[in-house]
Amino acid sequence: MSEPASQGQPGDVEVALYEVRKKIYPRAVTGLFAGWRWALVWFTQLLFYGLPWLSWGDRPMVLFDLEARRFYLLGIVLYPQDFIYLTGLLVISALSLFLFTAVAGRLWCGYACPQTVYTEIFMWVERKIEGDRSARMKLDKSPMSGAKFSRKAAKHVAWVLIALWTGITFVGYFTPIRELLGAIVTLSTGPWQTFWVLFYGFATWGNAGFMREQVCKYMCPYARFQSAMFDKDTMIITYDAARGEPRGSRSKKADPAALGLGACIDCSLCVQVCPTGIDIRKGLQYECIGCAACIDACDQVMDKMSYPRGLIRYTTENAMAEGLDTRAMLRRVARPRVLVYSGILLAVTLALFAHLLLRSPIKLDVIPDRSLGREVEEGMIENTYRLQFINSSETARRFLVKVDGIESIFVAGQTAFEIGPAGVRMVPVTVRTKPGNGKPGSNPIRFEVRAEDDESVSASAKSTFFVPR
Amino acid sequence: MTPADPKPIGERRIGRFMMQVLWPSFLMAAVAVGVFFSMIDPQELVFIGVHLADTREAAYTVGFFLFWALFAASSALTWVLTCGPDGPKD
Ligand code: SF4
Ligand code: SF4
Repeated sequence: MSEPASQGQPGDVEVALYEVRKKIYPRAVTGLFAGWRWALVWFTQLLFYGLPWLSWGDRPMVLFDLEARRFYLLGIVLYPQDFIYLTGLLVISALSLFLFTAVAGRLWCGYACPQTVYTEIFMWVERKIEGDRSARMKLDKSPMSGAKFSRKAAKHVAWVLIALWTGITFVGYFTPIRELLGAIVTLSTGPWQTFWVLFYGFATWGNAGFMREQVCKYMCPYARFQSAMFDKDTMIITYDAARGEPRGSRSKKADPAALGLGACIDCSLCVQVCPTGIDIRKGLQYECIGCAACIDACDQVMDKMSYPRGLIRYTTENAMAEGLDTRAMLRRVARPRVLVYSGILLAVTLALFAHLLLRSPIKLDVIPDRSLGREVEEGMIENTYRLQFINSSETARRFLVKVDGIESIFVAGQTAFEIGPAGVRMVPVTVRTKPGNGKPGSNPIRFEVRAEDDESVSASAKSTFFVPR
Repeated sequence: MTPADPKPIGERRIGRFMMQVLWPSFLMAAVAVGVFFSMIDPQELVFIGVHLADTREAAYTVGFFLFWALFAASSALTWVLTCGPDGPKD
């Protein structure tokens, strides 16, 4: 692990006696990228905390009803048989990640990853209660006292409340959240709900309060393979060493050229704001999560010194080596790697949406009875099946069943079935054919169902018809 | 609060174990439980005549921990075989 900020401010030497690691005390930072980070915190969290509260008709807009094995998403009802869509979604997420990484490195990590987002929220609470970097370090070093204890306790109460609310929201995706809250108020949650609220809440509390950058360093698989998606035109956060070195402190009025100094005033602010405690001036390191906090910090220093901004900035290896300006650098974004990722991403996304929109609102599964065919009155051959209908539209419908594949084969008995909105129904169906039709052994047949009110709503499924020898 | 231990958790044995064994198996268990129960309805699971699941939620949760344990066992074997209990000599 790199040495956290100890240069610069003598009072700031970190000796973390009480922690299992050298504790990192990131300093608060404001600026363009901090603004973006907070915007994304708001955006992702409004989405996450808000979605379970929205309704669609008289049901939640998004609900993964595991107990009933139905997923509701806007006006769509999905069943476990629709697992393919989830797979498609995962493929799209992975491809987007590849694309973002190729263009601008760890954008996901720096701005949108839940680990970053919750750490950001938890650190904000910490800052409000314990103060900024130096106040926190002083507090941690001071002996236990009433004031220290109450501050620490207040912080943990706030953290636990946020974590619990996060856990409740998480479970709110699987149980309608209003019911869940009602159950919590009356202490009548089911054991599994209680368990998952606490489990998720505990994970949030531990990861955002304590593990923090260690999750990124030691536990994140993406951090290990993201460099495979980098190339020399990937924009990454870089310290412009050619401009900054040799670093050294100087007065604001001094002319750095006369002193033989570069633009870096060696204030170490870029190190103090870094949530992973690294020094970006040592070059790209795998610990860097691309949060751009150091850019904001250094830009402020540059402003104060009246030097041009961008000593630390998003830039590419090629742009650095060839001295490209921003426009020339941006033109290189459209390179084969990026175009290939975008093309595949677009194709998969379109395919998924088209498939979802065009899919039939009814599904049919046929399960043949285990008994082989038998002979009934007038020498007819009879087979029985169980038909499972899934009506994923939101209206009740009557369906008619037909069968074909063998001459004079027909459905004996009931042929019309009513299935409620978003309903699943298993019905027994008897199929007969006249003697002499079909060869002995199994014959392929096909079931077809059609909605009575709408001819275009149909589904079919294959099965076999057994004729005894 | 615990006494001083300057090593980051990722360089300590217990930390390595958690991060290299429990964590990847947790991820895989989440995937496996999703795939498994999307194909099999727990209420149809009958094992030697015993109906396994009272409620589906119980089955999902128990299934998740069974998968986790199974994958953790596999990861633990890899861990023991590759680095030995002391961790890699890097
Ligand atoms: S913030 Fe900028 S000027 Fe200050 S040490 Fe970092 S790179 Fe140098
Ligand atoms: S080096 Fe800069 S961009 Fe990287 S993690 Fe630290 S503050 Fe964020």
